[in-house]
Amino acid sequence: MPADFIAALSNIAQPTNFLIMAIGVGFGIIVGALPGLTATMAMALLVPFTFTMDAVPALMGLGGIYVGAIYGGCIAAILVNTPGTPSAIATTFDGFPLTKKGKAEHALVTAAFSSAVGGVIGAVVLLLLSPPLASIALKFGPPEYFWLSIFGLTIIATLASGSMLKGLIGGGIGLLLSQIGIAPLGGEMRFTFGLYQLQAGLSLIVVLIGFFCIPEVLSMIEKKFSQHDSINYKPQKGVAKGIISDLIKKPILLLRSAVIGAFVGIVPGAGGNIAGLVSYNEAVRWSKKPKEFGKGNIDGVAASEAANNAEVGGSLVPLMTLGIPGAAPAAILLGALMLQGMRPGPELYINYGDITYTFLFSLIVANIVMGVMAFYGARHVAKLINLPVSYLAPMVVFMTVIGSYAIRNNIVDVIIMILFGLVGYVTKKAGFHPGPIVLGLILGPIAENGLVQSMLMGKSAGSMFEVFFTRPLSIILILLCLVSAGWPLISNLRNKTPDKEADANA
Amino acid sequence: MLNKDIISAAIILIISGIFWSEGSGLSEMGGFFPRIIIIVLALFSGIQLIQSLIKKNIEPAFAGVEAKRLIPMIIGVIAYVGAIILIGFALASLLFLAVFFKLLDNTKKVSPVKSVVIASLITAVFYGVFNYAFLVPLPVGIVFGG
Repeated sequence: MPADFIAALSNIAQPTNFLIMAIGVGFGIIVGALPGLTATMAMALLVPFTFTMDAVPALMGLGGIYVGAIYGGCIAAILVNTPGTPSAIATTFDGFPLTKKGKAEHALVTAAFSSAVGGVIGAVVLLLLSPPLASIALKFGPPEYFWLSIFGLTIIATLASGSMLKGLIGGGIGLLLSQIGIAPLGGEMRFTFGLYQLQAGLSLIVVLIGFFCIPEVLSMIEKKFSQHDSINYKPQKGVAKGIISDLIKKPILLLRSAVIGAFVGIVPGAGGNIAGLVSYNEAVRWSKKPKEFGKGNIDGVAASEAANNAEVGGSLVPLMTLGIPGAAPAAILLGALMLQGMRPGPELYINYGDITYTFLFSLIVANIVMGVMAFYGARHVAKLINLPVSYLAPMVVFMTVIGSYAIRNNIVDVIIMILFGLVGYVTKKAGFHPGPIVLGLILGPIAENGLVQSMLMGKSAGSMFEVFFTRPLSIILILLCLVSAGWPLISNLRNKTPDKEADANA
Repeated sequence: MLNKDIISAAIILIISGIFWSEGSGLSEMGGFFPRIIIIVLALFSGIQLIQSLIKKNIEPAFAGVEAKRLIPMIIGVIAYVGAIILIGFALASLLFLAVFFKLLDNTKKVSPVKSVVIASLITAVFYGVFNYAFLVPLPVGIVFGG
């Protein structure tokens, strides 16, 4: 491991790698700042540009985009009350009131500093937690992988969309799509409908580009768009210094928010928006002046931003250790790892230790770079918020087309990407979010391998029950499945109780 | 009355049926897992269908969507892919970008010349990067011998 650490630091220090990461951070900030464009979309659009690169610069660049885009969302949230990305929803609560008071710079400096601190803490959590968790995952056999995939599906199905049933159906659709192509065991051809182009199965990254980019483009143009008011603010001397020294005096606020963000991120399906909202709620609860929140309190901005950037590191923990993405952008990173020929999960630490640790350390550096860029560049990026949709939408389509073609030099991939993009838009309108579908697609092969191999083990051992239900790690995973599947039902019951009481009192 | 939940549940049930029929010849090992998925998917869709038949007030799927903006874009995207196959990436992209830069502009400030110039620049930059830096040969189109 020390050799991997040294290799990682040397990789990061290489000017080309560092430059690609910094460009990624800058690009991420710009995309994140544009309302309607998400971190997931930014990464999906750029993955095809990285596949000709070596794994190190490719992953550092994508990590930079992820970090930058999550921060970038706060710029529009603070200046025009529209979160650039869903992660910045809680930032609007106090960010925009500060802008209305003429304190936009206060909010932006707070966001830059808190995001950098939160992001670094999140990356440290990832660095500390993922290697020991990966070593536990190495003990997983087929039954554990089966239950792990079921756990992933239950939790994402309940968290990723408003309706549990629709989440489960979405997961089922994804699982079904994962069955197209050659069967992993036995090599049988399945569900190709006579099309030889489907024999290799659906290219994950092509489907991801379609699902995460085309519906966003269509959502952008489906309604008449209006320009935001022009955004102008002049930096004032001494404000930044004052805000930063004020925030340094609140280490508990920053630490608590970052820890909440990192741990919310670890839960598959709970993204930066939930991290920001939970952290904001806790900041209000622990504050001595809770009534000041919502009216322009920098603590509110700090809580939301520290949490949503810490969530980046957290969301990568399940990906790097188990091969299950903790959030949609992590799913794109999974696709990028696979394009590089690396199988996400514990093998990353055994076979690709130098590359993996380079990526983990680079996230810490990317957050520092992001903090510096945010500090000096936020007001310039703010001018781009009004970039017309008439330019953005066709450009995104153009990039999705060139990107999906470039992966295998295959026009059929472009057709599949567009098809899934249109299907993604329609399903989104029908209430099926892309998260569970994509997770189903990712987890399908893991679940099938786990199930069929476990059944073969059960047959040879003479007891299916023993193989599936008696192994200690399997029991833990089964309990986790039960908790995650049962939690929404309990939560629904708890939410209904006050209504009933209110009705009774009415 | 049909609502989005009834329609989506019915479509998923039909898709489940199609996949069941397509996978009917699969062996026990190759067909076991897909069959479980299809059964579970059909079960959940059936529950959704029943729920949506009982629940009446479901918001329409495309409420507030301006079809006159959306439909040209969808047709444009499909036509763009068709055009790449026929006339190649460069020309198809130039046409797609130029047309939609102008078509989506509700400020009426973008002239046709400006949209063509910007579209040409973007296409040239990306064409150059992919063809010469990434060594990814982009399609030239059937018309031009591709």
